[in-house]
Amino acid sequence: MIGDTVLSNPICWGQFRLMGGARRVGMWTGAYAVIAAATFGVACRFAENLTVAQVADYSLYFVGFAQLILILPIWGNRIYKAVWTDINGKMMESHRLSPTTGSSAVVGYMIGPGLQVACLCMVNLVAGIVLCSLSGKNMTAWLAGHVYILFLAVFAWSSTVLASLCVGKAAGAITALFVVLLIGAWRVVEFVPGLGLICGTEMIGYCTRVAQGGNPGGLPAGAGLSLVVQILVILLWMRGAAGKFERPDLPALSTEWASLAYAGWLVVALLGLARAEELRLPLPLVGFAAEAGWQIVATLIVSLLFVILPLRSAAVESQGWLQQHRDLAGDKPSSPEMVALLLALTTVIMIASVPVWLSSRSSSASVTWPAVRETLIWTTASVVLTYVSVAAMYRAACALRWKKVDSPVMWFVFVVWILLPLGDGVLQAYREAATPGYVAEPTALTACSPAGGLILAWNDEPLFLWEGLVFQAAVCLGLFIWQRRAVRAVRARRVLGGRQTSGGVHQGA
Amino acid sequence: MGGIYHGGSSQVSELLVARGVRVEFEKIVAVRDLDLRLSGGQLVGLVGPNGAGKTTLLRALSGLQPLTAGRVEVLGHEVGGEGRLTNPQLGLGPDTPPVYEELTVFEFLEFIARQYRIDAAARAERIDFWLEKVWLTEKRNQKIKELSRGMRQRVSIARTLLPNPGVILLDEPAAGLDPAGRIYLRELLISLCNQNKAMLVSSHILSDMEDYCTHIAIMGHGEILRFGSVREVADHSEDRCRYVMYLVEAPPETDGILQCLEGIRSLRRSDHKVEFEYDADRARSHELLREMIKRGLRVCSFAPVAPDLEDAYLRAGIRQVE
Repeated sequence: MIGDTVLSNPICWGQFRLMGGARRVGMWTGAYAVIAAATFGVACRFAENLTVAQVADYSLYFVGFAQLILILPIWGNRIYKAVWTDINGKMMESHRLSPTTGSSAVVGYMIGPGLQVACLCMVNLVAGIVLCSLSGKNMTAWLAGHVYILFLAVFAWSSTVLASLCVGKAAGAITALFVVLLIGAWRVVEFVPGLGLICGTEMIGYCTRVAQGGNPGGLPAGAGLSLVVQILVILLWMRGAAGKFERPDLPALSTEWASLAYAGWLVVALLGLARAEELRLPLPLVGFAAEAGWQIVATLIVSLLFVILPLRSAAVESQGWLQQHRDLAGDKPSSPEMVALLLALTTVIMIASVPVWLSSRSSSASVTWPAVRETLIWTTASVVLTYVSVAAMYRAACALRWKKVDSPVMWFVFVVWILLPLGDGVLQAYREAATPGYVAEPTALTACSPAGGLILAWNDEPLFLWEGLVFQAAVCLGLFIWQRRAVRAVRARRVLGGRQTSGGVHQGA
Repeated sequence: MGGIYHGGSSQVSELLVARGVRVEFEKIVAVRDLDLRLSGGQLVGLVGPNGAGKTTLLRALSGLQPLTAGRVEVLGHEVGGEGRLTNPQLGLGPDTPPVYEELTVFEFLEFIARQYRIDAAARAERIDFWLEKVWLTEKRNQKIKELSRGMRQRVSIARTLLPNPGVILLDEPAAGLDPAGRIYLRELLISLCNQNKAMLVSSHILSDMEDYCTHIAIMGHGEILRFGSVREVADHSEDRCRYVMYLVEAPPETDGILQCLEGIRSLRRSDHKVEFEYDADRARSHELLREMIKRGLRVCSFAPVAPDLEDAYLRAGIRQVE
């Protein structure tokens, strides 16, 4: 019955047929089961010092690992390949011409390419149950672990479909980055606790413990919250992917949805910061404990990157409206700069509540309200300038019809955010090594970078902050002027173009 | 804004209406503020040089190519706008057929039928019907990757027609087809036209289009330069006409005499047969004939040639897009 429902989805059915249909999939599954059983049998026969229970115990580790590999990277890769092949071979256009809805296509792509893998996973699941009973391990934990893995997998699959539809071939790199992020998530979560809620890193630890056959203990503290956040993100990603399937010319998420997603991220980030202690994983796993100041800075930097979504959507929609409304009549969408301003203020207000909350909770907290008052003023100014700069860059790139509208922002992030503080660091280190007695410390170059400035501002190193802010304001002003000129030039050209074409009248029959 | 192109009477329902369609790629205007109306029973042939914007126009009408400006309606529903870009009532057969190479012809068409939610009971029957129509019944269970280009083209035509769309856009459907295939395609298009479908077909094979199209649109530089019934477009000429003349005898001085006559262009002579372009005006051609006889040419026959699409196309002043 489930099979019928799944295969009633045309894309699912198509992908299943492309794999060779039931016969071929059944053959592979049978072969896999036979090989797994034979390997276990051989292991039991030749492992002279081990009992069957011990072999089963070790085997459970391998089966759990295989399950993770199959469900996450292999299934994800199949999705990516299926979407990319359809885009490359123009089958995606064929799908778009048909009545296939966006949501149906997304579900089809999430499940269809992985049906063969799903059969192998079923073998692993059953094998795990058998191994649990042979080794005397907790079978409930094995099954519960699978539920968690499934949520994580759906999250990964929806991300892959969205990335594949949005960026095509580059989605492979994004998926790889996602896997790397998951693997190194414990350290990232230490800095940005909000990400831990989204990625469900606690669950990974739990599932790994289950897979290893050890005592997984009770459910992680933030498990319920993580599930809710993950479900929301999955729904949002699926909506974005469905939108991109139906309207490839528009951003996956409209300005409203992207702004809502950003606001959602702020709430999650805030929950993560507020619950950082509870979310914190055992010290031996992470190797260090980040202070609240570093966590706020890291969360702000991630937010600066996340805000690209709504600002890009606002710029694309604004340009689309200008193209379709030469007379400038009708409801004009919000200007990207206005969206940037609103999002920046929301960010600062929400982040400012963290020190207030920490102050009220404990007097010994490293970041307290009175101490960060000035820092918050600087942060507000820097965040506003950065967001408006990004909005201006997107608007100019859209107005000038650049093929890669993300290029200026990517360069901005690389040069101003990363290269300036990095260059400063290298320069200072060199001078320290070359000049005896010279003490390296950040200069105005670091403060010119929004990321570098935030690090200085939130870590008791208020050096050159205002100089840095002047630089950021100058950059913002320059970008704003560039944007205005680009938009004005395009408007003038469109009016002129309209006049020119109106001259050639060809009367038909 | 350009004139609105439509060939049918106003009583026939308009299945496709395009207003001010404009498509720009960065600084290139591929389709320039174009208006077009297609009614049921119209089969419009779209001709033009490579790079004229034919494929872009077809993609824009189908919704696959987002418009820079303008509006397209299929059966009264706007394509694109706030909703999805495409309309399932419209079928597009692209020049390069997208297919799943690993599927058999039947499986691929079943996949399409499922996408269009064709009733499971009627699915096989309908697929077989269209396979027969495109002469692929024998290849039913063959994998698409094993088919020739022409056969893939037929699969693409079947894919387009399987959902029974009201508006059909075909981009170079005859490309890769053998002579027999072209004849079958012509018959198929005529039968679809008789079923009151609105069709827009791009092709470079003008002689074929003359046979099956009800209307012709000549496109160049993103604009429709000529539009009308096949006869209207073919007859349309600036002022000139092609003439064929037969001489009783052709002495060596014939070429010299002809070249001295004012207004004659594109002169070609093979033995007793002479072809040239001259003024289309009957009185002027009469004067020319008198002059030739006066100069000693022994004219056996002298007649204007009924213009065909190729003439009309060449006269439209279209050059290859660089």
